[in-house]
Amino acid sequence: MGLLTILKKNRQKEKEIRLLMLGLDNAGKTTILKRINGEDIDTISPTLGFNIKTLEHNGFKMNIWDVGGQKSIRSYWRNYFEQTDGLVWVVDSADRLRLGDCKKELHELLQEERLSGASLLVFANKQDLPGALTDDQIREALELDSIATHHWAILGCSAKTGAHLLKGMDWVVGDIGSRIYLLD
Amino acid sequence: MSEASKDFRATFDPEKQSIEEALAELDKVPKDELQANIDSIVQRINALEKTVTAKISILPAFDARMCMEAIKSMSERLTQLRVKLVPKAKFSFKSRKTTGATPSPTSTPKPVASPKPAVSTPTIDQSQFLKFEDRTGEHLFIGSLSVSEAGSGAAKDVALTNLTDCTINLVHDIPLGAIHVKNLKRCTLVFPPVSGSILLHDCEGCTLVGACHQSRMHTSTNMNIYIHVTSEPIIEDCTDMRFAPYGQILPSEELDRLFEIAQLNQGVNLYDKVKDFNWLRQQQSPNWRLLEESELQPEVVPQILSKDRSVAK
Repeated sequence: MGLLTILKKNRQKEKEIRLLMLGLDNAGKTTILKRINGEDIDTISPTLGFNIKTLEHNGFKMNIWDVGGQKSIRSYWRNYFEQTDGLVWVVDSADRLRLGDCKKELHELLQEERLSGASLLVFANKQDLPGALTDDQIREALELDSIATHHWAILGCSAKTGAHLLKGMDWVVGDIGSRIYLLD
Repeated sequence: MSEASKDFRATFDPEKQSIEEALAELDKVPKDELQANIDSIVQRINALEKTVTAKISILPAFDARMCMEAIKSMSERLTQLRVKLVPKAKFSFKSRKTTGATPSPTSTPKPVASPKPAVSTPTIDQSQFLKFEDRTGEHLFIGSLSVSEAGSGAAKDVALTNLTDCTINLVHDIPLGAIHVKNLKRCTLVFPPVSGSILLHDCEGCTLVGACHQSRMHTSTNMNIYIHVTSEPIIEDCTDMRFAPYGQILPSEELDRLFEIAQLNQGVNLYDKVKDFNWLRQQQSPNWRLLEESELQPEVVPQILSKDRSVAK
């Protein structure tokens, strides 16, 4: 029995999932995290570092890491890649000016070897804004259809109203669960 | 060749060869089995990559690199084939779906007939987006923009881009969400309370008066910022930033109403709790300070607002 097998068995027992939530600054990552966790979202400051929350969902223990998206701290994202089961990429659907940046950062992440096994959920956030692009438009703009290396899905959501957040979590937990815990 | 490497290559090489054969055969696969075949190849490539990752510490660097390159080239080949053979892989959640539409998790982008015709570039609905761009030496008033009635009542985002020596007045009855400000030189800006963020990039020598939930300022210098912000404002790659409170820019009844529309707490203002991403220490950052009492310019706001007084109330 190799060490990897032991580790895997160990994780199976705990049914633990590690999610990494990334995206450009002002995408709404912390707001999504706090909304899911039922916390107040009115006083959220830009994240200077990271937040972590542990939640139970569908019988899984989810550790969600929310890492700040400011340009100067994006280089630290790599410190959180290890053991990531799912990547939640959050997009400000109304921020047309930076969709190019957003696409570039996402596709760079997908090249990352340590994230190669992770499921990718793209949250097209801020659907409550009238100027927001739809999930289809975001899918085109980020060229998600070209992704062949990861399981992925995109979902329009609103951290402000809470719309579709749980549905997204359902998908990512389901996808990871079937991959890690049932397939072998 | 080391023992570990030999053992590894004994399992890696045949699997790699087998995947390459599957790739070569892919264009002969019947259409209805294509997706399943692609899915299975994706999984096999991923699994193979995992075996390399797991062994990376014991493999000689050269072998590890060769294996990773082989995997990369197989992934690229698969992507090319997929584009060629499955031209329209459409897959996304539809927000109107009500049933538990969790997609089969074993499939990568699953082709689902899209109800809408495919669009090559995102069609951008400009009517919901208020913007001023590429102006010099002008006074710009948001009330002069035509605003679409659709979705009125919901907050709209504003973009201000490439403005030089302009005065900008966004105080009006239109509820605003986020304000994106980019590349402004020597401008004076007056914003009403907004329900979203103020995002600033590449500005210089401006005076900004605004109220928001979040303030994020980047690569800017020599700015006077009069702000009401209910979370800690941040600066990044900025120098010579000076902060002061928003102040009573309108008669209090009017101002109270605007704060209420923006759902901003008038009682909380963290304008003096600036966080500098380039200065993660306890001591005061050299990149920002508060404006001294003697430096405040209370006449600026009335001057700007008075230009549009008839509309701005």
